[in-house]
Amino acid sequence: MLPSALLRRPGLGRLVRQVRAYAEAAPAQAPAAGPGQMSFTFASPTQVFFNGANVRQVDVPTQTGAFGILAAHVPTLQVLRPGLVVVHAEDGTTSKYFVSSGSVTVNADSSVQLLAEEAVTLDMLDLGAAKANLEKAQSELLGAADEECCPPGGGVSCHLHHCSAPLLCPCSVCCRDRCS
Amino acid sequence: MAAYWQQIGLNYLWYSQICAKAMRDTLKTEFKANAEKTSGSSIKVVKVEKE
Repeated sequence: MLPSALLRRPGLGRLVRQVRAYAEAAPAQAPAAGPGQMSFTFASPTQVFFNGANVRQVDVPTQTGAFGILAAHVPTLQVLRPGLVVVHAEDGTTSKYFVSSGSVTVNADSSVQLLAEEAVTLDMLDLGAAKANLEKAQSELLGAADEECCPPGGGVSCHLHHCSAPLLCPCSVCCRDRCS
Repeated sequence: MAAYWQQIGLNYLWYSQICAKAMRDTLKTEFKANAEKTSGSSIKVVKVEKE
C-alpha cells in the first residue's frame, strides 16, 4: 500500500479515489453506409472519382485476376495490374476507368478503397498511340532478348484488351541502365 | 507463383512507375500536360559547384 505521507498530498488522494472503468469503444467510422451496402472510395493521387459512394458492384483487375466486388465481399487486399475498372451504380449505369496500377482493399464493413497510381476515363486514351507504343515495346523485347542480365523469358510486354496500353519490357528500360 | 517482375528481383513500386509512365504516354495530347505535372519527372537537380 502507498505510504500515508504520500497519500496526504492533495493531488494523489484525488487520483486514488478515481473510479476505474473500461475504456469505451471507439465511435464507428463514417464510411459504413448501412448493412448490405458498399461504401466505395476510388481515387488517384490527383483526383477523387468516388468518395464513400454507394455502388452496386465494382470490377477490378488484380495481379491474380479480375473479379467483381459486391457488398459483403470477403475482406481482401489486392494489388492491381493495368486494366479496366468498371463501376456499376445502383441505378444500373456503368462507368469505366483505365487504371495503371494501385491497390484495392475490401474491409469487413463492406467499405472498398480503390487507390490507383494513374486512373483515367477511356476517352482520355489515344488508341493509335497505344498501338504504336505496344509495337515499340515488343520490338525492344525481341531485341533485348540476348542481354545477360535478364533471365530468359523474363521480359514480358503485356497489352490489355481494347485499351492496349503497353507495359514496357523491363529489359529495355531498367536492365540496360544496370548493365551498362 | 511470383509475377515476372518479382522473378527478376524488382519490386512493385518499379512496376507501378513503369505502368504509370506507359499509360501517360498513351494519353491524348490535351491531357498529357496535366499528367506530366503529377508524374514527378519535373524535378530538376542542380549541383552547386565549389568556386
